[in-house]
Amino acid sequence: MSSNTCIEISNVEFSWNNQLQPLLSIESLILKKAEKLFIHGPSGCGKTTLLNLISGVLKPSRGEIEVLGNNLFSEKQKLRDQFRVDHMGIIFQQFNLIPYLNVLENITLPCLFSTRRREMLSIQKRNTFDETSRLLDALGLEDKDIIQKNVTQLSTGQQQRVAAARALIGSPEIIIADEPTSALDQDAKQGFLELLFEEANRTNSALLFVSHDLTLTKLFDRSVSLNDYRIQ
Amino acid sequence: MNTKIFLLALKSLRFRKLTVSLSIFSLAISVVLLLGVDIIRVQAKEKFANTISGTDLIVGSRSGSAQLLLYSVFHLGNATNNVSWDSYNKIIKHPRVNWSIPISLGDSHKGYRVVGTTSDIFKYYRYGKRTKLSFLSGEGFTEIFDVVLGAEVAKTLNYRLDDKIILAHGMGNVSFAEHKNLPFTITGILKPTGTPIDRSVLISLKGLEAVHIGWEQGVPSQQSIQADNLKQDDSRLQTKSITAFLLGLKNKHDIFSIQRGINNYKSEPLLAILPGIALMELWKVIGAIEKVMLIIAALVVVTGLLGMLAIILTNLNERRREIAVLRSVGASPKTIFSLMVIESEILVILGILLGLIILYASLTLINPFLFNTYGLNIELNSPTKFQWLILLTIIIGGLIAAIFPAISAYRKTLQDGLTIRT
Repeated sequence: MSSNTCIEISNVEFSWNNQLQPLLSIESLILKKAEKLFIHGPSGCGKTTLLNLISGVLKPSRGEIEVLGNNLFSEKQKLRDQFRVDHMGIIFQQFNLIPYLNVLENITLPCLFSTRRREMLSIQKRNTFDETSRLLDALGLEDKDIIQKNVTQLSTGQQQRVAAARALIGSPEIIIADEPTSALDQDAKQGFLELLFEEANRTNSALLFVSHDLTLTKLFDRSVSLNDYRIQ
Repeated sequence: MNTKIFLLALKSLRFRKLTVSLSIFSLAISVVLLLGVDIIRVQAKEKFANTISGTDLIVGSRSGSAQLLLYSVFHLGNATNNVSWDSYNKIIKHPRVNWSIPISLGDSHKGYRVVGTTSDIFKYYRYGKRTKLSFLSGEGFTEIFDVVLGAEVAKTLNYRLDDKIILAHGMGNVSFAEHKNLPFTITGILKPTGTPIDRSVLISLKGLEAVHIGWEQGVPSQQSIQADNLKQDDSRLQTKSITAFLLGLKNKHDIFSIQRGINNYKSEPLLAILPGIALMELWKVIGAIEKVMLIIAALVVVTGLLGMLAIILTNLNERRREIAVLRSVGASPKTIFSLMVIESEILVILGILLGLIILYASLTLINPFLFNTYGLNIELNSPTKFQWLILLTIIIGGLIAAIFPAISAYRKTLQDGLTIRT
């Protein structure tokens, strides 16, 4: 594994409950540092499974996944959970936010669980509140009051931006996004992605973006079709 | 780590205010019920045991000890036989006897028992923690036709001092055989005692004898008696028999030998009982009810916990998204498990606290009413060992109830990962 590799997947297979036909089979997939990688494929092709594998939630039936030089599955579950929050920011398709926490609390949630994310902020000489407002600003939520707002009051577009801010806070090396724009309209999609890229570039984070929407491909450094990895 | 989960749990509960407060409230009510029943149970038992105190022996004609206790102390039921005045006099003249209170039953006033006795009752009768009878107004009887009323009698019938009342022959509210020609004057009203004394009408033995002159056949004879005549000549008022009597001894060590002596009394079949032992025997019979009440109250607590469980389980499905999000920011399945358990435990503990507040507040509020009306004084003690045990059991019960949804959440967490599989 070279020093500028973020994620390296080799000979990975995954199947549920010992089904003979693997749901996902990837011979080799590499995400370089600060790379913007687009992974596409129709629904049901295992995109979500791939995310679960990379984030260390699911264990592959076979093969190895190395993230930032660590073999994910040589560690215990608890350490994988810690590793995930320390080094990855994750954005879902929708319902990204905890309804009983306000915008600030939602964004700073990773700092609650990760010392590393807090430390990254202090290296940048920022406190969580200032960084949160800066991220909100950068992601186009300039309204000063929004930081204390209840997340249930936000529109879907606003919610996705708050989710992005949460993924970005404390500058994790990898941002993983699972169809974060599918709930947004075409204009909002473009805007959201641009802001996301800008922030990811600023902290040199790699971006792993999964979607079935091929119109977005042109914005990324590289694109991969999951179908290519499927055993037919 | 734990304070983090605790804060999350608090915020999550605050978010679901309505269901959460309903479930806290229903738990609180069940706690009030369970502890309330227990407090009343304990105090009723104590009260019952304190109906009579300071009396060493109760003596009546030979029957069962429960029966003797019931009619002599609780004024319930009737004696099968009387004790002759001769026997009574012989026994109380025993050198080891300190005092005695004769009790003669049979008449009533508007459903309240008339107790023929002597003024020694005001001097020696004790109840509760050796408390003497005391007067709300007036004083004890001195004349033949004086009467002293228990607190409840005076209150319910709205009598004042110097009012005149008519006694009825036998029991029952509507008695056609009244001692109309010989009214009694109220000279004293007693303070509430919370014992059957409150429902008693106390007169002297002579007064009781006087109203029964000419009633030897059970109905009045034709000749009418004048009160004034009787006051001048009380030779006709010699008591021939009484229903029972209470004995106080000079020395407690003599109780059993005197009891044995009375039980073996040759000229008349008599029975002497120790009030404390007889009361406890009787309580064993009544006590079955307390257990039933306690079981019902415990079932209410179980219902409260099941209600909480139902609410948590219903919410669980909606919360799978939230759990996935928490997982994505580093929460382990164990963290999710603790979050669920901590939420339930907060609910249970808040329920218990609210229950205690409601319980003690309402007891404080109704206490003056209970004391004035029934002479009942519910003492507001801190919870007893048993009550602490009840509370601990509820907390543990809540923990057990919480473990089911927590296990379910834990499983779903592992199954779902960062996405929801339906």
